[in-house]
Amino acid sequence: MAETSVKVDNVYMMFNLSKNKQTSLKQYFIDMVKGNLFFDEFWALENVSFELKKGESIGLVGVNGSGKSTLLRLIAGIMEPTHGTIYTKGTIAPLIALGGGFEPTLSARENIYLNGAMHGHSTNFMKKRFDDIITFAELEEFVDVPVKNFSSGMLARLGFAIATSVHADIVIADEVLSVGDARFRKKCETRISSLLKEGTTILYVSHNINSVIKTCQKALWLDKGRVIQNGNVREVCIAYKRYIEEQNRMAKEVQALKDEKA
Amino acid sequence: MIKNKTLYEFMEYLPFLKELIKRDFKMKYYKSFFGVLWTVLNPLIMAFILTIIFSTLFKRSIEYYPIYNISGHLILTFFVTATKQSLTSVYFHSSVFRKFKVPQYMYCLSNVIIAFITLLFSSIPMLVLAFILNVPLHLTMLLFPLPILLALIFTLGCSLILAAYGVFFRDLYHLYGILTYALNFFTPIFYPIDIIPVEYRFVWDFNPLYLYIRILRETFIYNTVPNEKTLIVATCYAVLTLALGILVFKEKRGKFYNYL
Repeated sequence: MAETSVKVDNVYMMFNLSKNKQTSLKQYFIDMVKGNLFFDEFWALENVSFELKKGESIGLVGVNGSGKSTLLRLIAGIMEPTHGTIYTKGTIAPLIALGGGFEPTLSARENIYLNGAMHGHSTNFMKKRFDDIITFAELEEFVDVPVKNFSSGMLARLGFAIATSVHADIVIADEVLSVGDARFRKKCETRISSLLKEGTTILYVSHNINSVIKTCQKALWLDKGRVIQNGNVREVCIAYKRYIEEQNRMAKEVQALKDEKA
Repeated sequence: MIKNKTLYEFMEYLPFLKELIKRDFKMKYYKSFFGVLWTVLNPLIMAFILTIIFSTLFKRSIEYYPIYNISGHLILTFFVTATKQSLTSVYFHSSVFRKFKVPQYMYCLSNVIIAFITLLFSSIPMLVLAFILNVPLHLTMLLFPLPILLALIFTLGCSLILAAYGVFFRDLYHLYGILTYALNFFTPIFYPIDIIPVEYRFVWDFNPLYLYIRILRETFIYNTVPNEKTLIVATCYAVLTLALGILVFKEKRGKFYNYL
């Protein structure tokens, strides 16, 4: 019986949209005098629950704005849920949008230490993994070049190499395998599957359904913040694919009707 | 329990703070020769200019005018630089906080520490000047790190409060610019406190920075040990401000995600 690695229990997440507007002290006082301090609630996630055992992998699917990234950020501990609880066991390597957190003027070497520190790793810890990171990212010639001169592919490779070489217990991957050329993508997939063998738990988001089916055992389908289906990766992905095709067909029909009228 | 969690988080990200400081330090000092030179020259130039302008005016009432001047300038500059940078520190790095679990106050801390290092560098010309002007050596001089440390604690508290509110109110930065400009005149740096009419002097007495500057001057230049009341008030200001800063930041950080 494997132990629980991630447990998401009745999670709700609310954003306050009205407060996302330009914030200023001036505006605040004006709104206060007018009695305008209203909330415009937006529920990004509603009643989401699932559980992952150690070494399992789950793919999150859903259209844009369905709450996938919000869920990943909550699991990574970047935000706290409005209601509900999230339990995680062990260290987490969040790979949320690659290339984030790099300092353009610093070299690749300095950025590895800075990025490692952002994940809470000491310089010594990163030193032991330094060669591995550089070799995997294939950046041997560019170790001391400022990363502002890197291509986006190089940045993505570096980010992926850092996050996967620290051997975290949980890896959170948001659209990360879609970067780089086919050969590097293959390399990433190989590394992900070797991580799974070592017992790493993986949460994976991608719009490429085939890649989800290849990587994950389970899948969770989110739509407008609600869980539509949760279970075996094939079943969920086939249902999701069917839904997308249905949507496309309907959109086409509506378009055809409009054209007819015109 | 919660206290331990916070402490644990702080320890976990200590290497990050170290990297941040290293980075800022490098940018400021390694990569430019003028970085170091400027830090040392800046207070000297200021003291020089202000001495030329005001020395005839205040010569009789202030002994060792250039040092009187430079000591005030040091502490005020430290405070203003640290707090101004901290005010924007959280929302300037919003892209980091959207992707990493890094505690937001780390940027604030690194700003204060870098400004503090600058203060230490800048105090070298003060020591040299004291030597040149033949300020008599005495034991109370050794007390001069005390007001600097108190100023550090006070500044840290203010920085945390400003950093937290800076996220919610982006125009606070401009407002604070005006405030610090006023602070330049409400802190006796280049003038003696005696020129302020007695009935208005309570405004100056409320200014904690003036308190630290006064302690620094008394111990360093005028060979007097500040009385107990002054010391207690100065310590209370520092500790209470820091406590308030930690409380405010802790209270507000849960709401940051809506604004970053």
